[in-house]
Amino acid sequence: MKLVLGIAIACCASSCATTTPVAATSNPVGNKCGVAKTVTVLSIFGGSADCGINKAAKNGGITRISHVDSYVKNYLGIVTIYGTRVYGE
Amino acid sequence: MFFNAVFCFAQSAEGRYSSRMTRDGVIYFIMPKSIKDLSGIKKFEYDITLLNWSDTATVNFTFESVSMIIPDDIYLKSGNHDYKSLSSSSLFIDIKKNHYEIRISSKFLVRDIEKAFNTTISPVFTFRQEGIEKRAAYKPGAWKKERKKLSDIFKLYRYSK
Repeated sequence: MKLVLGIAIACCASSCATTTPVAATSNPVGNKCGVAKTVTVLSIFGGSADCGINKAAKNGGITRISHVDSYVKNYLGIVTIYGTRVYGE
Repeated sequence: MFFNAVFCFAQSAEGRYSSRMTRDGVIYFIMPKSIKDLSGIKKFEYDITLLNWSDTATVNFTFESVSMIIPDDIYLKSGNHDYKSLSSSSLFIDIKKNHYEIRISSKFLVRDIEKAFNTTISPVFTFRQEGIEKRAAYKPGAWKKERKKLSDIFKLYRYSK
């Protein structure tokens, strides 16, 4: 029973994360970073927050974008986080 | 063994930050974190940018409030110590339903943040709006998990200088 419970907890603690490039410019990397994200549950609930490039740039106070990555974190297919990371100055 | 594996996984700082090379050095960006022990505000999320060629850190945070007044000074309180921000300014104010979402950018000395975070009790972000003090801190269980991750990231910053 303890073994089954341990496996269940280990599975729940596991996650899958992927980062993919979105865009790169000739602007310098700068010293600022901004993130915008949204969280969905079972792909049904949530997911209404703005996770676009503009929001991420605003959050970082970035006016010249160097490059943009997007990431997805998935927890057992139940909770999924979509995010955008912007670097610039 | 499985509980130890889960514990070790849960304590790793991997995924909690991202790093980038620049011409001047390395940027460490501590990803945004929402903290839930709030007073006077509805939501609080902060992130930290460390530059390994600088002794100051940028702490940007977002909170939701019924007031749109920009706070003057930001403090990081830890036990009996108050660490005041070197500077603070607003990035933007947006309307969120019947609240205002306010994003502030502040600068702290890295050594002050390290001292504030190197305690068993959660540090507290405090500021004033219209004379009323607003506070945000981690819940005790959440701080216990977060403290080691942040400590590891700050060690990375120190050793990369």
